[in-house]
Amino acid sequence: MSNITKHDSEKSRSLWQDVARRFVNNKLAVCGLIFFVLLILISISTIMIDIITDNSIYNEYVVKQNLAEKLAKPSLEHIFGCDEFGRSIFFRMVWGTRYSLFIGIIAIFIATVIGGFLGGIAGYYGGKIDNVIMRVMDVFLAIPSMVMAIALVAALGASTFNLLLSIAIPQIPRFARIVRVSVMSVKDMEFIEAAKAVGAKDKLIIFGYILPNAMAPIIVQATLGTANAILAIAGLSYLGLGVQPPTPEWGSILTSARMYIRDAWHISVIPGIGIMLTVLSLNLFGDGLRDALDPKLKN
Amino acid sequence: MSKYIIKRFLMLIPVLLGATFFVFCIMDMSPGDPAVIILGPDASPENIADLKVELGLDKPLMVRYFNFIGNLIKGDLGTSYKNNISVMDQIRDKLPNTFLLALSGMLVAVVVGIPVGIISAKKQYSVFDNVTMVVTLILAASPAFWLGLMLVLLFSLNLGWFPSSGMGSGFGGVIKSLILPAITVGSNTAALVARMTRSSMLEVIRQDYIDTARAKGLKESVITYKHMLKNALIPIITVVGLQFGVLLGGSVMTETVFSWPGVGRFVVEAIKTKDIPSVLGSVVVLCILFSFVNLFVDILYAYVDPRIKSQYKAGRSSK
Repeated sequence: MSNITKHDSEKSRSLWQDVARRFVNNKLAVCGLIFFVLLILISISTIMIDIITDNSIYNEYVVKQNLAEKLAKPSLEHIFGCDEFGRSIFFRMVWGTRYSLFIGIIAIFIATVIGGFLGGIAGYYGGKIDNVIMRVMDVFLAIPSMVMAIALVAALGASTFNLLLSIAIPQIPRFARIVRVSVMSVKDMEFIEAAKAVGAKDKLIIFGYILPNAMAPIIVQATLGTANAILAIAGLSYLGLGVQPPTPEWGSILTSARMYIRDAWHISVIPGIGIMLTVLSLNLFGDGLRDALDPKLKN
Repeated sequence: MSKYIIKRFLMLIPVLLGATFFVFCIMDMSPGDPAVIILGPDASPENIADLKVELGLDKPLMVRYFNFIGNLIKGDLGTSYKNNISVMDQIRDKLPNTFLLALSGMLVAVVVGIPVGIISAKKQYSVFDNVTMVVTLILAASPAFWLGLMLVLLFSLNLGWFPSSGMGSGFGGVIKSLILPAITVGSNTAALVARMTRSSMLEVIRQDYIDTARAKGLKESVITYKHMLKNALIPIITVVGLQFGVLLGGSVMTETVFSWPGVGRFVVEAIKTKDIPSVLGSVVVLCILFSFVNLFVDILYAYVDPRIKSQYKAGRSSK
């Protein structure tokens, strides 16, 4: 018996190797991942350029107005055309990548940590604690997330930091629910009982043993949640409640698009395609990740 | 069944109290003294203090909250700082428009999404299926307000088929001006419903009882609608119900794009003029609407899926 087990374990792959193998076979998901990594590289390199050139490129090409080229159509000189202040939409989109992307990622990270913490406690201890936490989460879920985000921005004022909060807070209950369910499904397993029997502390059991085993649905929700967050950020900025001008966030580029839609179609078309491709890549990546982590869920 | 409905209804009360309290607290944090906003910066401190007492702003948060709830039950949401008109009256004018928009969006989603999902599932891996799946992926990834802009660009400005903004008068006018906003609001949900219907149908299609039905010689249409769709419908109803909140949120964007006279546009304008009672009132009304729709979906769910009802009964008897 022990021989067989040993033989098997030598040949078998780890969980993550298995996941990676299944993920790589999903071409759409790999495309999504590549595009997303590309966007992150663009964001990081523009931040580096700003630091190295002391914002001179940012000031010269991204925010400086040049009314001679107002609403210029796409051409060789400005491949995405210019906005109502004659600023190149190409430069504004490249420099704007970081806002949509990083605000989305940070907001979802905050929601994952807080929601995961609450859901973890609720799922592990059960009983009264569970009841109190989850009823509070129900209250949050009774407010449509976009409406809550708008209310938060209205009360706190429109700024990048408040935008971050108003995207993160409505997402917390979703993560709390997912983590709670995963924790509940793991906590009665034998290895947890074994850990309790040898006197492991609650903290170690929750963070050391239960959470790593409940990670798969959290990662998937975080990926898909980031996609939704990017859509919400673009929406709020479009309404003028998010990132404030002249910061080149993609949604805020679209704010003026409605007004100039008759004369300059490119302002409304191009930034929207950027948002769509970003969200699409995250959705494909998230779906692929879910299928790779849990092949049972695949239809 | 009626017991279930009553219980769900009672459970709604604490949730609504909690949600309104949360929104009330957020709005209370907003900077600026309402009395100063109303009277202007030149008002004397005595006048400001008087107005504060008149508005009840000198009382503690909890007292103000319960006053607010009391007034809400009486149908009073206070008056707008901007034009002194009752907030409730303004919302009453605009809420039907938002509801119409969200419902039409839902209708678009269901009428397009379900048949497309059924055909895709029945012809899995056909050209139709592949094209549909790509289109739904793109639609689900597009911001609703951007799709609205694209529709305006194509159907209003280039083809001139529909008006690009506002709400027409008369039945025909309203319908004509509703089409583009409804497609905008419904497109994301239509994509989701189509994908959901497809996967849900695919699960059912391979079941043994479908083979049995075929062996009995039933017509394919009877099998599709009675045997497959009825069973596949349960997860679809859940998704459609949960999406209503998304549709309400989406209407806020869409109303701004199309200048649709609804609550969403009202909120956005109220935020820009710092008209707190209008924002608070609208948000509270949207939450209440959302909760009631969710309740309705839950009841519908129990009606469609007998297992929920029996689970509930089993849960009661074990306690």
